[in-house]
Order: sequence, then structure tokens, then C-alpha cells
Amino acid sequence: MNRSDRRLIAFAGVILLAALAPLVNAAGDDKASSNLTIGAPGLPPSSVDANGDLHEDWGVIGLRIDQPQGTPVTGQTLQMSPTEGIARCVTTSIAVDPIAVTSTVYRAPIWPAGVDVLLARVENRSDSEVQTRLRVTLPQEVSLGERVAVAGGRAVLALPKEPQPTRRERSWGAVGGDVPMPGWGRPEGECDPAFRNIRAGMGGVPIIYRFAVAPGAKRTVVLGFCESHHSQAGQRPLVIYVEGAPKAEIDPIAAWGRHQPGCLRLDASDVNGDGRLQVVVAPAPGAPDRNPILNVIWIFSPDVYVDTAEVRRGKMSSVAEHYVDVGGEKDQSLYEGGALIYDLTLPARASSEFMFLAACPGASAPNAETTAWTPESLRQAADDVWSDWAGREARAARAR
Amino acid sequence: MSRRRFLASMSAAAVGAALAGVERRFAFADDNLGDYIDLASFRPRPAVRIRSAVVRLAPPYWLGWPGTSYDLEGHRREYAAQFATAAKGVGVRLEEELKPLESDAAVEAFAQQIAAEKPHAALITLQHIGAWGWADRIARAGVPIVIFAPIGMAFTGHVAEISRRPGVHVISSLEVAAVEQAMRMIRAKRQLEETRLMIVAGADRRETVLERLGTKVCYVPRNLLHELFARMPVTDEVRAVAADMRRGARRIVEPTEQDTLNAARSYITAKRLLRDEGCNALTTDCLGMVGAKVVPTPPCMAASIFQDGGVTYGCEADLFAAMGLLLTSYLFDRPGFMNDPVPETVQNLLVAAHCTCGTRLNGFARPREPYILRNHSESKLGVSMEVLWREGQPVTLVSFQGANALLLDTGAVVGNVNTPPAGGCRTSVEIRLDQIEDARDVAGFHQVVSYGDHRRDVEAFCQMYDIRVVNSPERAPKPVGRLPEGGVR
Repeated sequence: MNRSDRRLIAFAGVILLAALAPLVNAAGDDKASSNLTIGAPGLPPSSVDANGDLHEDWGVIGLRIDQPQGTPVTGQTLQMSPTEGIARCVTTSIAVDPIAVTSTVYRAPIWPAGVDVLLARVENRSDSEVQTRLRVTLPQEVSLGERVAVAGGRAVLALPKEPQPTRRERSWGAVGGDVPMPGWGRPEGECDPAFRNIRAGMGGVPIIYRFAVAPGAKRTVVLGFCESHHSQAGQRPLVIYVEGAPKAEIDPIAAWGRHQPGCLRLDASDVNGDGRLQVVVAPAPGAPDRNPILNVIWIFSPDVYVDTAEVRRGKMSSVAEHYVDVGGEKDQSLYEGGALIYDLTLPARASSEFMFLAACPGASAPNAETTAWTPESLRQAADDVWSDWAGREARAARAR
Repeated sequence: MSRRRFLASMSAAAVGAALAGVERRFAFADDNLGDYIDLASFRPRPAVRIRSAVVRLAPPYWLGWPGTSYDLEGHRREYAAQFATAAKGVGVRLEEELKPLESDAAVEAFAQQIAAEKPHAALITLQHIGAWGWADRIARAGVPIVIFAPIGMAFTGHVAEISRRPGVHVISSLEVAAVEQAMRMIRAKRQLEETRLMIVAGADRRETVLERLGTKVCYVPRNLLHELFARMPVTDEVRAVAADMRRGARRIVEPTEQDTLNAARSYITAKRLLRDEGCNALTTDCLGMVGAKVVPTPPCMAASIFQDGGVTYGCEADLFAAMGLLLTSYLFDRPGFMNDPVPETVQNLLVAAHCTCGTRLNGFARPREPYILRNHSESKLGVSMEVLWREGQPVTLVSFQGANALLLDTGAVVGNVNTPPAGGCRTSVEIRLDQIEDARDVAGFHQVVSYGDHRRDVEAFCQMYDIRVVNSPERAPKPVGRLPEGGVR
């Protein structure tokens, strides 16, 4: 059987309900029991409720229209799969005149364990320009980075590059995109307990922190490293960019050895006067291991004498302005969690479309900065796998 | 009950039950187990469409390169004929623009056309050194581009940037064979996209798709293979395969005739399962099955026959090792050798060792390298391959690091290691690496080694499809030392 045969069988196998469900109140009751299961062959399912909210094992993600205000009107369209009870795709429309938001949710069976795709289309149905505010609801405990949301050390949501949400910033924190890995380090000898934890920029993502300071202020920055994976130098050299300090390179194995905590002191200043001091740890060009790591950050007032040996032993943490146990319990994102707010200006009769990739059960969201997946290729992957699945069933049936 | 309520009532548990029933639904009948299946039918033969055009300033020329003496039309005809022959050999469809593109308007129209049509690639032949701006316009059309610039059409400055751009492959050379390899590269990507790689391991069934490469990864329960093997009869094909492998061997050391019959049954079983599952290649939890003693022979001989037939059969259910085998098979039309990397520290060599290896290392249509039939050294069971690699032969090592990066190294064969006195695996090839100071630093595991120095071809493939190339360290690391506290290198 060739490919087109399989597609034909798959097409025949798909029951397209395409019937707009009865209008459902956004605050409708009995939501848990009315959830629709979505998934892909062999992968654990997720579900979508009557509001179009996507229920994952890490929480619920939903789209809301905050502006204009009004009672939303919701409708839902389903595309069923050949495997009984699994929706291939759920499309939910929420309208507050003149704005309509259409969310399309489906499982893309990408290796290794799939991802749930949430495509949001925001449409201005009026003949004049409209400002709208779209809210993406997320669990409060989800930590937001620029392109990724993290929960419990797991990347749970890849965010679109555009549009950028309006974010509320804390006084300090990690910009995000990296992964907290508590307990990764195995420091030997007397040292600060924070050397046990790290953030790692998987796939070459730089680790970025920002700290609020008075514009133009100077600080002493000490960074703590402990390499507990590689045993040879040259595997994970790092480049350090601390605002106001010359670029530094460090290879923790070459400098201190495996499992040996070490400290790097740099004199920093807010050279661009934006009231933020930026610390970046990135992979050195050509590094065989491109996942940068960072264990600890100390920020000291410039009038404090800093003895890095004492800092490493954890004896100066109490006098630091900021003592960050990177990847530890008290570490935090720069951005407040809870929801993403998108303020959009849509010209008359125009629309905007953007994509979120949500971690499905047992999986992590792909790295938004480096992934090659596009809305088209994700949809193609889903179509291909469903086609194969249907074709295989049909072939087995014929063989019987 | 409304339709929506009915569908909603299908809880996750019910879905789980539905999925649990898939094995019953996928069960195939037992009859006709001995049917002949053509191994070649598993190798994908996708339709590959390449648009081709000649790009040049409008002739006649006076001064400037390629020069007034250059036989413009003669070379155009000559290259067109050579490209057509190459396309036929590789199995791609070349659609040639009959008229050279000689103006902004013509180039723009062509660029827009390919952007809309999305052929699998475009092949641009430059016939004037002043036409690189037009090549650049076409290269930005969003389609993989091969630019062939015969010597006389470029200075280094023309190619320095564009030749390193993802999605572009520049051939500034008189080597027309490089254009044929570029066609093979486009075809290989399509073959990877069309491949459903069966991973026989575990107890679950699922299918996923690999990023960038587009290969479908189909997991099927391991018991399917060994249960099918148990039912597989000794057919005429089994006897013929066993006899052929015995006849072709330089020596047979341990295996009995029954061992070779079992190994041939393993080959027929794998073909059958591959057909039943609609897949094109496989890798199996072979060591797990041998360890659990559910099969009397590891599939090493079967894997060797598959590899020689252009169909990947990988070991140990290692997905990315199998992807390396697929890449070698599709990109160079020859089998690769998945192996464990062993350091030889006295002579500073890498020993690439495993118990299976294709024999047609020079190409699927070329004669076999000599081989000896052995047993699987770790288990003393069945039939494994000791293939004798040719000394002096340049080799290429590839190893996918996930779908987005590839480890690439090169070297040359210096010998074969005998077992005994060595332990380990039956095929053990000694390789002197050419850009790695110390063989202990060879990175990766289950690398795939193949004949030929294909470093630039692999780099070209990775650049075309935006896969990051990494190499093992050229220089041995400095001894671990200590920097003063706060020290910066």
C-alpha cells in the first residue's frame, strides 16, 4: 500500500463532526466531566474543556479576552481520530464583540513524547482599529521566562517570539529559558550549600539574571561554579558577560577540577543606566558541551571587601546584597507568574496568530529558541502519524 | 445524551483501554509466513523534484570572467547533459529551465515560482562572475539551493558568506560529481522523511516524528519479534540465505549449519515484521532478547544482510545510532558500521568494534569485503560477522547527538583486530584519526563508520538542513590544574 492509500484510509477513518456545539457559557458547570480527550497514538492523553482550556499534568492553560469586556460567547468544533474517543483537534471560539479568539488544540506526536499545540488566532471583526487584551491563564506556580514557562524544573510551555506579553518584573531573577536542576552538583570540601544546585541552559541557551540597582551603580559580582558531570577540561568552557566587566572565560574543570567548587569575581556596573545589572553565562564558542551551568551568584556592595575563598565557604552570604542559590528553592524568575497578558492593536478586519507549545504528560516543551518545529511541520507530523496508524490497522485487518 | 456529552463521557481510562486493545487490532495472521519479501522494497524511493536553471548576465561578454574565450553554450549543454545523467542515476527528477535567467525580472520570477511551488531543491549553475547577486536572490526563496559555479565564476569573496549559509550548498569547482552528490543529499533528506524506523523494544506501541529529519519513529513491542521468530519455518529462502552466507565466507569458525539456518530465519522474520508494520528500517533490543534467552541467535547476520541491501538494521534499539546508519545508507549508498569506540593507547588508535557489519562497504552494488562467520562473542550464540576492512581506506564517523546535532570525525583504517586474543566484538577495526590528537578523546558512542572521507559531504548535508556539526577535540586537554581563586583564563 502506498502513501496516498494510507492517507485515503486515514481520511475515511476520521469522523469530522464539524458541528458547532451548543453555545456554552464560559462559566459552565460540570466542566471536569465534559472534558474532551486529545492525544496521539500510543501517547498519554490530555484534555480540553468546554472553554477550550487545555488540561495537562502540570496545570491548565486557557485563553481569555480581558478587553473589550463583555460576556464571552463560546463555540467548539471537534475533529475525531480513528481511535475511538480521542479528538485529533479541538477548535474553540471565544467572542466578545468585535474580537474573536479561536484556539486550536491538537497533539503533535514529536519525538520523544509529543507536544500539545495551542494555536491562538485573534481577529478584529470591526471596520476600525481595536485595542484588545488577551490573557493566557496559567497556574500561579509556573515560572515565566522570555520564551519558556517552567514548573517544577520542567519546561512546560514554549512561548511565541511575537507578540511579547506585558510582564511584571520582580527586583531580581532569572530571565528564563534555562532549566533549574536542584541537586545536580556534588561539591567536595567545605563550601556554600548552594553549590549543590544549578541552572543549565540546555541546547546552548544562555543563563541570564538581572538585578535591580540604582542607575549607573557599581557592584562586585561573584559567580560560583561546580562541574559534576565532565571529568576532563575542555568539555564545557563558559563565557561570562557581567555588565560593566570585561568578558571572561572559565573552564571549571581546568580551573578547579571535578566536583570542586570555585568562585569567579568580577567588578560590575550598570553601564547602560537602565537600573538593571545583567549577568550572563553562555557556552564558549566551539564548546563540545553547549549546556552552560551556574551554581551561585553573590552581589556585593562595592565597599565590601570580598574574599572569594570565604565566599566559596559560604561565610559571606549574609553580607551580600543578593545571594542566589541558582536552581535552588529560593531562586526565582524575573517575571511574576500566573498569567501572560498580551496587549494587541489590531487594524480593521485584521487578525494575529501565534503558537504555544505545551508539555503533554511525561514530556517537556521544546526549546522555543532553537526548535525547528513550525505550525506547518507540527500539523504535518500529526497527520502523518494518524495516517500511518490508520493504514497499519487497515493492513492488519486485510491480513486477517 | 448529546453527541458532545457522549464524547466527553469517554474518560481517559476508557481511552487507555482503547489503546490497550491496539495489539489485538494489529494482530496479523500466521499463514504465509514463508512468503518471499523483496528486501529492496523497504528502501524508500520518494519522488524528488529539483528545479534547475542557468543564471548569467546576457551574453556576449567582453573581458570579465568567465572570459570571452569561454565556450558559454558548449559548457551549458555539457553540464546539462551531465546533470541529467546524474539525476537519472540518483533517482531524482530534474526540471530544467530551458532559457538561462539573464535579467532581474527573470531571476525574480524564478525565485517567486520556486517559493510558491516548493520543489525539494533548486540547482543553479552560474555562468558569469557578476551573477552572484541573482544567486543570492534565489537562495532567499526559502527552498534548499545548490549553486554550481564552475571555476572561473567566483572569487573567494563571492562565496565566503553564501557558501556557509543554512539551506545553501555552493560548489565552486569543476567536479561535476559534487553536483551528483548534492542530488544524493536532497534525495537522502527525502528518504529520511519517508522512513518509518521501527524500534523493537519494550512493551508499548507509539509513533513519533523527529525534528528536522522528519523520520517517523515507530515503537513496537519486543515480544512481536521473538514470537514471530519462534513461528518462522525453515523455508527454501531460509536455506538459500544460509547457504549463500556460508558460501561467501572466507572462513566459518564457530557457527554450525543449524546456527546459520537460525540466523537466516532471523533475517526472514525481520523482513516479515517490517512489512507487517509498514516500516522501512529497524533497530531491536537484540541484547535484551539474547539476555532473556528468548532467541537462539542474535540478529547480527540478519542485520548485515539488511545493511548490504540498503535497508538499515541497527543494534540495541539505539534510535540515534540507527539514524546514523540511515544517513550513511541514504547519503552515500553504502552501509555504515555502528560500533563501540575502544581506545588503543599504545598506537593511539580507535578500535571500532561490534558484532555486526555490512560487507558491501564500497557500495551496495559493489563486491563484498571478505568476512568470517563467527558466533556472537558476548553470548557465544548464533552467527556474527567478522568483516575485514581494507587497510589504508579513509573512513568517516558520524553520530547523531539528538536530531539537531551530529558528531563528525574522519580517519583511515590501519588494521583489523582478531578475537582472540582480543575480547569484545567480532568486527574490530583499527582507525587512525586524522584531526584528533589523542584517540582517547573521540567523542560519542555507537558512532557509524563508513568507507570514504565524506567530511565535506556530511558538513554540506548538515548545513543544508541546519543541523549543527560538532567534532571530537583536535587537541588533547591540558592536565587538570588549579587557578588561583578568582582566576580568569
